[in-house]
Amino acid sequence: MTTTKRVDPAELAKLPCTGPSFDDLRGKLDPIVARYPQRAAALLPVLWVVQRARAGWLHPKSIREVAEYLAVPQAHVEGVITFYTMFKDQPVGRDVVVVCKTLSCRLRGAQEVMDALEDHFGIDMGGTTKDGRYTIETGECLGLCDMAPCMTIDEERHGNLTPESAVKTLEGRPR
Amino acid sequence: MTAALRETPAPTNPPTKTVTLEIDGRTVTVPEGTSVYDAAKSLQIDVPVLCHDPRLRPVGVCRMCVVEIEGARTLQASCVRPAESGMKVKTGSAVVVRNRKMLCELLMADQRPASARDATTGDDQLFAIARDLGADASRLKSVTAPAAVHPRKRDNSSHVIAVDHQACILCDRCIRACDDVQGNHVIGRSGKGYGTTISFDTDVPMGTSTCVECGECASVCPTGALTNKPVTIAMTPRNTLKQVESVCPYCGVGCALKLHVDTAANRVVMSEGRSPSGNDARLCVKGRYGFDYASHPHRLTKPLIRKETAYPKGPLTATGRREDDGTRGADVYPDYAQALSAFREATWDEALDLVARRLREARDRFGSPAMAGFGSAKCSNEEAYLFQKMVRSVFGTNNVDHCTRLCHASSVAALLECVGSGAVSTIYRDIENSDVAILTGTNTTSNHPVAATFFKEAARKGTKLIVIDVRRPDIADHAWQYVQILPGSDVSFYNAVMHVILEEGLEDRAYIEKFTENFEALREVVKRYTPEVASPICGIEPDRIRLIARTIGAAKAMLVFWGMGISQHVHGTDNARCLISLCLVTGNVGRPGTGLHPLRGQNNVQGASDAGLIPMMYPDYQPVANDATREKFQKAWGTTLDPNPGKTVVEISHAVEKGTVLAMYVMGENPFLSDPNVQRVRDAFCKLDFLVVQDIFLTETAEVADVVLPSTSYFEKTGTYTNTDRRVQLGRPALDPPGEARLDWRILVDVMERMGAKQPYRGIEDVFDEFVRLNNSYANLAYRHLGGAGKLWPCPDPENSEGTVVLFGDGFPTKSGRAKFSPAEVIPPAELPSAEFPFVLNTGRTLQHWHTGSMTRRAKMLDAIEPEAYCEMNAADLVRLGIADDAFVRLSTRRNSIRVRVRATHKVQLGGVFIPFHFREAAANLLTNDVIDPKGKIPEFKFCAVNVEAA
Repeated sequence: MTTTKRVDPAELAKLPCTGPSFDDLRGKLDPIVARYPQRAAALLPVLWVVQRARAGWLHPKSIREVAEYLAVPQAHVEGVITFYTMFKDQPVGRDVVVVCKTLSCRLRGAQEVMDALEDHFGIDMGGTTKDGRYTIETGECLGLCDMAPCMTIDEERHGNLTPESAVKTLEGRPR
Repeated sequence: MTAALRETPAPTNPPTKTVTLEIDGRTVTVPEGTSVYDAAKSLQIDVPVLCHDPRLRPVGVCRMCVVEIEGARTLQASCVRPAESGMKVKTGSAVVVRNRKMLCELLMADQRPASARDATTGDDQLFAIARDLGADASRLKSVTAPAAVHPRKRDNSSHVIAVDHQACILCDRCIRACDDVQGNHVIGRSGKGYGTTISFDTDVPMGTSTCVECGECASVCPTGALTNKPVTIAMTPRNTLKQVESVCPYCGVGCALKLHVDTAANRVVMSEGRSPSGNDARLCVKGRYGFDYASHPHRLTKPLIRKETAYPKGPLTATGRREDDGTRGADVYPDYAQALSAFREATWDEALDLVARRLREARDRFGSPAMAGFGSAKCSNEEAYLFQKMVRSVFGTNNVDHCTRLCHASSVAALLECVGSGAVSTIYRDIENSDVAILTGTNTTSNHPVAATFFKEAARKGTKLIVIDVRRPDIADHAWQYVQILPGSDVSFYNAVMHVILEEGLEDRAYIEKFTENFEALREVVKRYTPEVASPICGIEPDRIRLIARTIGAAKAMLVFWGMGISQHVHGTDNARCLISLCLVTGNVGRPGTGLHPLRGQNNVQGASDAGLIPMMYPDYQPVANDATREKFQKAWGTTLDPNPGKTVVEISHAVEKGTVLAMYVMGENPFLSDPNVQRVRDAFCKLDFLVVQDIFLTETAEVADVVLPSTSYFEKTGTYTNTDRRVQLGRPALDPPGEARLDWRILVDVMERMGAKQPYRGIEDVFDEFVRLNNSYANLAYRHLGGAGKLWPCPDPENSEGTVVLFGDGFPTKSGRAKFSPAEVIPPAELPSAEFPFVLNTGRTLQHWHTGSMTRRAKMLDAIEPEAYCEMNAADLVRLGIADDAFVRLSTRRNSIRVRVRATHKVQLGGVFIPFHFREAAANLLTNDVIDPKGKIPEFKFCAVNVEAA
């Protein structure tokens, strides 16, 4: 099995930064900033909008632009996005799959689900499928304990998984 | 001493509340709010600590300083726990020691076997605590992460700092040092949990981040995570080195520093800030890492006499830089040997006899007005004083000037005219008392980096910075308003601001009536400068001018800082007059947090001017044309003095060209790079009958000298230096001079004596005492006062006081005791862009280099960081011209042309070109215009028309 390789942070800037230009995003961002007494306070929602608009991850250029836009240091933005797991500082697949690894799901077979996904797609948890379609990672409690084991695909919820149904769900979605 | 210079009273503090507590069975009383840690310290009880440093805000994250407090639920971090009355504290009880030991073992389990800090400066605090506690981490190695198997990364990308993430304990000191002390915000944390590391910007290598290499993080790091790389010889523990308290040799901020010296090797190994001092132990990259030029092999060690075969004098030796093979900064001095080959070595006796004979002959044959001298703002007060004494009393002329003429002459002219004193009215750190501060024409983060740290700190605490500059300086990131005026439009902007202030009644009537004169003249002039009139001239919308004027008008305390962007214009004096008027009209002079502060560029610009390196003034700005003053100096020096004011720098060069000045003495100046239209200066100097240069290197100027006298660097001599604050500080020798290099003051005395003028000095201190006797501003000062933080002149009571912080609290040292408004009208720059030369050229400095680069380009680290000449242009202009970023361009003006790399930036306005002037291989001053301001006689370095082509 391949070990997922993170891109060295120093090399990230060489990757393309896809998506709309920052000027084109301002129309969405300015109203968010206007809701807060201080610009810096808008950091989380602004990052979220930029991440969604730009291929689901925050390119160093995006970080620089957000830092400049909100007048906060780049190092501060880096700290925030590496703290919150829903912000990505590495390229991701088209959709992000999060398999719950917390207690209830574990008791109901989450490990088998993870193993099946790893085997089927030939990646480690945290990796991206070769076709670039999915990044599959583990996460803390998703709040769906009543349907453990569970996972999310972007904002869709899927519960009562079996190893087979998890694979089928991912393969069965429209390409 | 005039009334205006009386010392400001110390503010009366409210009585301090105190608390009394017991620590380790001893009772102590401390001010309320003191931490338990500091209270223990006052009893000489050392509590081990890792995350705390006296200069940093305590955060209590390392938990090493925990103590037992009776009645408390848990052990308490003493660095953040305020002392309370009745508290009973145990700093070394069994439970405390057990706790610390466990913590220490956990931290040590992740460390490498040996500390990089112990191997360099020998002061790893974690390893020291582990030794003290006998902490043995080996029992934990098996349960912690396999550091030996997957060590965290090392990062050697920075020129000056080695990073080892494995040694980092996440104590947060470097982050606070970078954020709160230096205000650079480069370091943060990346990740969470056990995987967390410190990171630079977006977790890129330190060397490619926005780090400016000030080294503050390495200076506070308690472990081997951030250590200094060696600059000269290998680092050795500080207790093996000799410590010398001195002052930084670079900019006018004049930071107090401590040099760590290996006396056997005769090398400075490391430089650190020290406290208490004006700079509060902060340093920039130049002060911390730029000291090694003193040990450069290019140092002159023997007197040199030009060979007969080396006449007539030719052009400068080629730099030999390989321009086209893509190597950056290949040695720019490969032809030093060739330059030296024009000279032969001589004994001191031969060289001094020759200098004295030729100068005497020149004086006797051509007359005193044909003699001239350039002193330097890099030399001490004593050397400056002796130099002007030599030119005046032995050469018999007032043709003595120095590089102040090229930086703040116009500011000083305006200040003397309007407020009667050329010095700053308050110190730079007084910004902490200002609610508004104007920073105009100053790229502070590059040119006065440590002062900039205090400006950024003030901004964080609520001072509104108004940054006004044609080229966006980095301090604009911290500004309330950044105002990008058009080049050369300063007067219109400030007149419009004052127009609004007067129109809306925001002026300080009472102040104007009590302390000023000629107000009506100002009102008449600014009446015409409505924001609508000024807007098309300065490029700022009328409403923004109004907003700024209202903010200034409403400020309780406003301080104005300015630099060369104001002064280096044909209307430099007018620019400064406007700033003075703005302060006077709003009553912002003479109180804490208010006033006028022209930031001095070199370490001793203030002192060299105070010492009389000015053609129209004796020491302390006493006019040479005044009979009584002249009489005083004639008596003191036992000679007859010339009553006619002498020529200024550019005037001297022009006189040399015309053949009316024929013999020159240059001490520590390098006009071949620093003066405007420098080819003209070079051609002229080749025609001199006799030129003697006293310097530590064979500078560009020295290449055409007849005799070169090897002198001592800053690190080899005793002397006093007066910084931008008027702070007089003592520099102490750390190194032995190389070879036969001789102390500058001894050389000057030798020359004077060989020219027949006996001098009375037994030592350098005698020179200072004579200088003080003739300079009222320095009255009462003596060497014994000037260690530590130095003294701010005027200082009536140096035994008990730091000196005067705020001047002009109760009037001005003018005849009337009032300050005078001197209104200014708009004058266009001398050389406007045309079809042939469509761009505006602006010159300046970089963070890493200083003046003509003779020192910084020979400082290994500084040269490595910024190895090569460059210019900057707006990215859009480059696109329009079809020129790529980092390509070579040819810059041409009516005077000359150079080839240099261009960097695309958005800091420079459309239509602008910025170029630093430090670089010999592409000398910016070949291009600049030598037209001068009529009053300040300063050249217009900041504006000339230039053409840009791909090259």
